[in-house]
Amino acid sequence: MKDAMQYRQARQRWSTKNRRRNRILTLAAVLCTCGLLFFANRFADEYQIRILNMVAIYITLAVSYNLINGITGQFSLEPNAFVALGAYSSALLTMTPMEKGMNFIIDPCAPWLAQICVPFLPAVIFGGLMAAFFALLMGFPVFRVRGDYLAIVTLGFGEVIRVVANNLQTVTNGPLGLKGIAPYTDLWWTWGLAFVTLFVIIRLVNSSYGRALKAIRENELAAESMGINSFRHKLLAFSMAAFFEGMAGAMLAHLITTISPMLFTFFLTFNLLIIIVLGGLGSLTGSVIAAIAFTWGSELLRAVEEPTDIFGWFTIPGIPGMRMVIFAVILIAAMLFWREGIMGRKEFSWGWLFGLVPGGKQKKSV
Amino acid sequence: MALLESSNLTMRFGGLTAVDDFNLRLLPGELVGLIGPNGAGKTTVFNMLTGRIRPSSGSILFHTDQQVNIIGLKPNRVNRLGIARTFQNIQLLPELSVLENVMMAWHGRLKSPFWAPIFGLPSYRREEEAMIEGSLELLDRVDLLDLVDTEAGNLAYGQQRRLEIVRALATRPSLLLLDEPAAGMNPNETNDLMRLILEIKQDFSLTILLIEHDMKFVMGLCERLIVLDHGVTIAEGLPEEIRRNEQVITAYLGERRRADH
Ligand SMILES: Nc1ncnc2c1ncn2[C@@H]1O[C@H](COP(=O)(O)OP(=O)(O)OP(=O)(O)O)[C@@H](O)[C@H]1O
Ligand SMILES: [Mg+2]
Repeated sequence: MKDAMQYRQARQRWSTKNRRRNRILTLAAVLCTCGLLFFANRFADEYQIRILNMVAIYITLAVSYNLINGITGQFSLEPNAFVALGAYSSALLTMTPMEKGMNFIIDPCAPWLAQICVPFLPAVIFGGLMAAFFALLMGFPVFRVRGDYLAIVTLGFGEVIRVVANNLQTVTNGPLGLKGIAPYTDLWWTWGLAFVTLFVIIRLVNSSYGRALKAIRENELAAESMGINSFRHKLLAFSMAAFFEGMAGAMLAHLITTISPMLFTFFLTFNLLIIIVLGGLGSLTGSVIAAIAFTWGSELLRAVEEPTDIFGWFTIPGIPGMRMVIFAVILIAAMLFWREGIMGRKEFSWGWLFGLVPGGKQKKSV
Repeated sequence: MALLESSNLTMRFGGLTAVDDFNLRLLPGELVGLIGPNGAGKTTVFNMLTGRIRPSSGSILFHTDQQVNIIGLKPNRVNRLGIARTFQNIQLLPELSVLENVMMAWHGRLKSPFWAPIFGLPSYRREEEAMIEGSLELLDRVDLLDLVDTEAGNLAYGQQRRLEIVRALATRPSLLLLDEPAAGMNPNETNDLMRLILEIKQDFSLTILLIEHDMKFVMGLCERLIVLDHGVTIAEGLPEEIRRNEQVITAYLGERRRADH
């Protein structure tokens, strides 16, 4: 060893063994959030709780979407499709035969489906698995061929899902959608899923697998030449993202209790695209921050769609859909002038936080 | 028994025959130079040997005693068999740290499945620790230890070239292909590089095939040379023989004359 001292220092910095402090701090932060949720559950009104639920669902969606778009660098436009898959398949599983009978008034529910009724958790997991299954099915041919087919194929898939949901009367109840889905989703479920998603994806991204995904993003030629099977890793990232998006869809269905094909248009994907671009493509921290800001912001922006009174002189009539225009402008502006987004590709770390405090010790942490 | 044998390897791009009937036989432990004027087809040979492009015709066998056929394998498979390369125009991951650039080359050999790091299984943690340790040792060899946290894109040119070499080593190859490793280096760096190549060849029991334009470097280092011109092998032999070969001199002079115009 030429440089024993330097070696020891580098070894120390990068070792996985001294991450205990960070783990304790992270656990503390999670517990704090749980405490806040407990209070929210007790004292917040219905509207506030709904926003908190949506924040958690958007965090789940944005972080998973960023895994394939930002971390792996494969531009895709799929979330609405996988959310729809998760929402429909879980809702159909939790509905009792009687509820199905009340919903399917035009055509009766398909016999193989009519009698099925399972508890919420298995239904949610099944929703995720359905999405992951279709991701594998799509990813297999798409990742085999070179080029940017993923965006087009996923965009098309979203439309196909919608058309199928509209026309498969005996399974999805067509344009009528499903009503009276049991409202199982509460803050614990949505935030529980958000934490599990964050935990799994952060662990994956910080592992050797995450390095491989980033290598594929930065230089696929080099990654493959160094023995990384880019096909398999793209499939992994894509189906994992789909899995969590499907589960988020299940949460959504049991939160709003009424779903129809109309709900899963491209707008959902568009919103998520804004979130991950604003947060920083490739930064999970950025996705979390942007998901919170976006959900909150879009509630505040409801004001622009309502009539506004200016000093009592005259009234500006509310313009429905104005929020979407504003979001589109924000996205274009961010793409043009602020490509890095809030976080670029940087991530939050406890070491960074301590570095901010004067006298705090700077320590590399993951 | 040869480590690698290619016969009648031909690569056509449309009407252009970039490599024509290339025959190569590499014995274990050899250090062979592949030279020739610009556009002779040298990099194309590397691309065929590593699965980057599929030859129009011909065969490539790795470990001739086991008859491992390389044609049609994807680059990552070829690398896993034990052939690693560096690139003429450097192909690092510019936004990742120096250490991550080396650790990434370990990934193809990782045994733990993707859920092992998610559940924090000890088997994965052991592999990751070994990865860090091995990468730091490699970086120490090429004096990049003080730069482990630097983004690879911020390294000086010579450092990037050295990083590419250790990254290739991290995949544990038995055959190393170096595409113009000394390009853009000053004489001091070139000397260090010659020493490094001999050192790693010894320590990792490598067979090396290298492309280089710097004649002093090639003549000083290689045991045997192959000369390509317009895709055709025009000479093969010991450095002294090549130096005196009429055809080779003409090929290079021709190039110089072309360049003068
Ligand atoms: N993918 C490709 N498609 C079309 N033509 C190619 C391709 N790759 C190489 N060529 C052509 O094949 C010929 C040989 O190129 P190659 O890169 O192998 O030369 P080289 O010997 O490495 O030259 P240099 O010393 O300049 O690196 C050149 O005429 C080049 O333009
Ligand atoms: Mg070349």
